[in-house]
Amino acid sequence: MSQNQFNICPTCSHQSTCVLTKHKNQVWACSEFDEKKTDHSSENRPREQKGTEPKLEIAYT
Amino acid sequence: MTTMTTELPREKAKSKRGVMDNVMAQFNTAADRINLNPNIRKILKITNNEIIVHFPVKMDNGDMEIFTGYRVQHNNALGPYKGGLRYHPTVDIDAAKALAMWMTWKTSLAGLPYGGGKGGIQIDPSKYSQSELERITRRFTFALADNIGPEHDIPAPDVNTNSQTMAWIADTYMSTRPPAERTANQHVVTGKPDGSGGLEGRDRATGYGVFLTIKFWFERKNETLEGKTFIVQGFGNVGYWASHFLEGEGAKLVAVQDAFGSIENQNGIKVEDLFNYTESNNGSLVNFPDAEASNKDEFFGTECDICIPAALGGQITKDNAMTVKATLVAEGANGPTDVDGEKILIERGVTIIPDILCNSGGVVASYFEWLQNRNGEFWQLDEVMPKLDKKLLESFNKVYEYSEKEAMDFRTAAYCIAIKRIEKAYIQRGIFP
Repeated sequence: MSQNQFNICPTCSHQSTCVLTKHKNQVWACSEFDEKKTDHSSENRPREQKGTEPKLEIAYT
Repeated sequence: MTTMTTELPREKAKSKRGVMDNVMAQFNTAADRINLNPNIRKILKITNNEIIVHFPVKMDNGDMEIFTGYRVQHNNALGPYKGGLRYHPTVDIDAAKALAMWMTWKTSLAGLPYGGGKGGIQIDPSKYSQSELERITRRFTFALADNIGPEHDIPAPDVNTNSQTMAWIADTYMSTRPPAERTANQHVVTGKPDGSGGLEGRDRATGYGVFLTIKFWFERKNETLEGKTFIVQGFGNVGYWASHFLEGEGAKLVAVQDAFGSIENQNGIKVEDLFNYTESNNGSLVNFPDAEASNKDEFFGTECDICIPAALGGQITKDNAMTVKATLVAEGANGPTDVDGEKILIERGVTIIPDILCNSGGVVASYFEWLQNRNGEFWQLDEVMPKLDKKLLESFNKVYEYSEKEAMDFRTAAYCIAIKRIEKAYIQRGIFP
């Protein structure tokens, strides 16, 4: 399991201009938080490179 | 699925896990003050369950991605686990543990029949389409399976989740029940849309609670809010509604700070005018015509009677606590005053209404939504607000009277009450077997 810096600023649209705090590395909740609006939906993402092996059907719980 | 039980670390990664340190410090201070039973201290220092699920979701382009979701259940001595679900790249088990523990104290202090929980998915939602987010949410719900439930663990919205997310969870969870039980499980989540079992007035509940606790404090001093001046950091849901209700009682908003800038007018800023301006100005208060721009670094030193930090944590610190002019700080946000800042404020005679009391209107409203669904009822706004008044007055009075009796600050009193309530439950019930 990866250990992350617990912080919401990097994905906030106000990150670069926000005047509320200089400590943009430890904010865990904020009323002004706005998710960055970027269109990264998978329809616009390149499909993963597929190998030549036959596709396996995997049952996940 | 992985389930673990571990002790909450006291010193781990102190520099980057401020929230965990604060939660543990507050718990330890209060536990020492009430001479908490050592066996119960052991129980409360650990989380009951930590659930990690990995689940696959089909993307719009046909690819499949694996996601990791978490749910930490800290304690359920008083009732089902309760707490939010956040969708964010930094969600992990440590983050969820600190916040789950904090929910235990919050629900206990509010006198609710709940414990504490928290969780989410390690994901950047901006990278997924709405239909992908729906499938991710539904598959996460399916993966959690009976680890959530209306009488077991009741999630709610948090960062990057909203009423739509809760509606998807409720629908998915209900769909997995036997047909005759489906509608009886609507209260598996709170914070639903008002057309799908949500509560009228949920939008204003937290801000209304902030306003009420301020009002109750002045009433204890035989004063009214008429003519009192206040400043608000954060003009989101909490900041706006708290300001709206304070203005309605004659108090005067004199300064506001949001993500874009700070404004001040000691003659008063009309709350609705500012709200309408920000609505037409991409959410920003900058260049509001009826106020002057002010120094963002000196916001908390603005002349006022009441200071309401309602945006984010760590705002009042040793660096600015000496400059605070207000006699009352009402913590609308979570953790806005750090330990050093609080010490200075208390030494200066400034009262702090702590976050777990001040912003508890939201979780109380969640409880009302849960009760409404559970009882098969639909409550009108004019029923909800007096119920909030009653519940928050009870909590406020307990904290006020305990702090007077024990000669301690409000925050320590609030934690003592919350922990003692859980201790009592354990002492009365004993430990199985």
